[in-house]
Amino acid sequence: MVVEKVLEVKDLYISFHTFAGEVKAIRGVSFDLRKGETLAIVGESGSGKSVTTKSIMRLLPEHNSEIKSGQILFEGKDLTKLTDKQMQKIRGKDISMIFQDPMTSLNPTMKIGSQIMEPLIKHQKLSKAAARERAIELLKLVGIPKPEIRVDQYPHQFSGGMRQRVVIAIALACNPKVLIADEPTTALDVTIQAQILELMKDLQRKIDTSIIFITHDLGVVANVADRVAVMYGGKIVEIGTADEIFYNPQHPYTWGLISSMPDMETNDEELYSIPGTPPDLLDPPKGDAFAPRNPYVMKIDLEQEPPFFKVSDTHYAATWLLHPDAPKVEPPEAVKRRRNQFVGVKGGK
Amino acid sequence: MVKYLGQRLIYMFITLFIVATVTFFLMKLIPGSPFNNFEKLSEFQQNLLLEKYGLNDPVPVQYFKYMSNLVKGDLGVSFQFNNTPVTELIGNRIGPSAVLGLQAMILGSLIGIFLGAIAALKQNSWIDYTSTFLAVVGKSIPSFIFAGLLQYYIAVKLGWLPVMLWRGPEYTILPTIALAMFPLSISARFMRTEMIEVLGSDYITLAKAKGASYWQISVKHALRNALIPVVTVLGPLAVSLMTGSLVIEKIFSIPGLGEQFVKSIATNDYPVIMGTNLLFALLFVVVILVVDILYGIIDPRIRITGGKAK
Repeated sequence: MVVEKVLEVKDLYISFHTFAGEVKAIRGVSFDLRKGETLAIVGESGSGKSVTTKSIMRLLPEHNSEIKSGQILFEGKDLTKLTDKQMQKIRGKDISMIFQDPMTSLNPTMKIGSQIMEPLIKHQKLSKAAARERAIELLKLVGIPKPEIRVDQYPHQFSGGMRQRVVIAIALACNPKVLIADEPTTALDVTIQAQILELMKDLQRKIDTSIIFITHDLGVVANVADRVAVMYGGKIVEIGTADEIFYNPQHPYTWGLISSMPDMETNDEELYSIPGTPPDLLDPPKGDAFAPRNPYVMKIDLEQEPPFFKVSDTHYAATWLLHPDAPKVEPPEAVKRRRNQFVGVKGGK
Repeated sequence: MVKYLGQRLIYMFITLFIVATVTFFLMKLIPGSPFNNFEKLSEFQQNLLLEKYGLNDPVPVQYFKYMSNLVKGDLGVSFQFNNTPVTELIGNRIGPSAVLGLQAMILGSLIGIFLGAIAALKQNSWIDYTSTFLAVVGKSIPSFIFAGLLQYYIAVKLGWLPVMLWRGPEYTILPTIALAMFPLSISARFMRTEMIEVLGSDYITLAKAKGASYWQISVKHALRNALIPVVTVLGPLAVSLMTGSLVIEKIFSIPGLGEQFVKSIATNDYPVIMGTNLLFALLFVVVILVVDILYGIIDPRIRITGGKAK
C-alpha cells in the first residue's frame, strides 16, 4: 500500500541567536505526515516540539531564529524557501494552526464573526455576506449554540472552552490539508479537554485533514494519535504507531515518560519522575543528549550519538540499547506491565 | 447608557463643587488684596473698595455669597479689568487658546501615534531610532526653547511665517508646532511600547497563522489594541493644552487664557481666578467622560451596554 505523504520534514536544523550564543533548538528532525492521520509529537518543555511546528508555519520570530538546513516539503514545495507572500497563501488555507491558550489567542477588539471571516475572504475570495454565512455554519459545526447571535459577539463574551472552539473554527475555515494543534487542551480543564478532543476527532473525519498534535500529556496522546514521535533535546528519539510507543517502547526516555504516567495499576507508590534536567542546547552534549539522565547509560552514549534502529517497519528508536552488541536490559516495571497487557490484547503478536 | 450618563453627570457636579470650594479657600490664603496699591490709592479708598466688593466680610460669608451666585451662573466681575464680567473675559480669551490647543493636540497625537506605530513595526531599524530620538528630544527640550528656535529660523531667517501675534491662520502655525512637540513625544513613546507588546501577543500570531498580510496585521489587529492605553494619557493632556500653555502664549503674544490666568493670580483678582479654574475643572471632567466613552468605542470589553445583554 502506498501511503500518501502530505508533509515531509527532512533533516531540519534550527537555531536561535541569543545574547548567550547560538541555541541549537532543533538538531536534525525528520518525520512525515500521512493523509488523514494524527501524528502526536510528545516531549517535555524545551524539547523542540513547538519550534518544529512553528517552523512549518514559518511563524518563528524572524529577527533571531534561523533554519540552518533541512527541508519542509509540502505538496512538492519546500516551505523553507518560499517568500513571505507565498507563505501567506498557504497559512490558514492549506496549513493552519490551533494555539495553546484560547484566552489570549483571539483579538479582544474584533467580533468573533470577523475573525472567522478573515481567512475565508482572504483565501476563498468569498463576499462579506457569504463569509458571514459560512462563519455561522462553522460556529454550528464546532458546537457553539445560537451561532447567529454569537457571531456578532466579542471574545470576552465566550468561556475558555468556547473560545477554543472558535479558534478551531478559524483553523478549519478553509478545510486545511494539515492542521497543527499546539497543545490545544493544555489551558483547559479536564472535562472541556475531553469535549475539545472529541470535537477534533469528529471534525478530522468530516473534512479529512491530517493533524500534527503537540502535547506533553500522554493521556491525550493515547486518545487521539495514530502515530507518536517522542522528542528530546531537539531531536526525535523514537517514532512509531501509538500502540508501539505505548506498549512496546524502546528508548529509555520513552520508558521514563510512560513510567511517570499513572495508570490503573499504579498503587500508593510514589509516581516515577525522570531525574535531572533537560540538556542545555546552547552547548549540546556530544553523545546521546539523554545520557546524563539515563539509568541504563553506556559508555558509548557519552561519546557518540545513536542512529535510528529499526524495530519494525513503522517503529524506530535512537538508542544504543538496540545495537546488537548492547547488553539486554530490563525496562521499568510499568513498561513491562504495559507490554504484557499489549501481548494479551493482541494475542501474542 | 442614559442611566450611566446621568450618573456621570451627577459625579461631575460633585467634582466641580469640591474644586470650587477648595480653590476658594486656597485662594484666600494668597497674601495681599486686589487693591494693594499704595502709590495710587489711600488706605481709605482701599477700604471703600474692599467694602464695595464684600471683601471685608468673614471668609465663610464670602464663600456662601460666591457659591449662591455661581449656582445662578454669575461668576462675578473682574477687579482688574474695569468690572468686566468674568464670563465675558474668559469668553474673549478662550478662542485663541482653544484653537491653538486643539491644533497642537491633533497634530501632535496623530504624528506621535504614527511615529510610534512605525517604530514598533520596524523595531531596531533607523526609523525606530529616528522616532525614538524625536520623542526624547520633544520631551526633554522645553517648549520655550523650541518656540524661540522656530521663531528665529523659520520666521526671522527664512521669513516664511510671521514671528508672533494672532491675526489669522498662518499666525497659528509656529505656536502650534511648538506646542505639539510635547503630545507628539508622549504619544510616540506610549504607542511604540504598546504596539511592541501587542505585536508579541498570541492573537497576532494567530492572525499570521490565518495568512493575514503584514498590513492587515498591523492595521486591523495591532493598531486598535495598542491605542487603548494611549487614549488614557492623551485625554488629560488635551485639557492642559487647550487651556493654554502660558509660555507659548507669552512668546508668541497670543491673547489666550493662560496669560490672563497668571495675571489674575498675581493681582489677587479673585473672581477671575475662580472662573478660570472652574473652567479648567469643567473641561477636565468633560474630557475624562469623553475618554471613557472613547474607550467603549475602541475596546468592546468595557463597552457600556447597560441592560442590552442578549
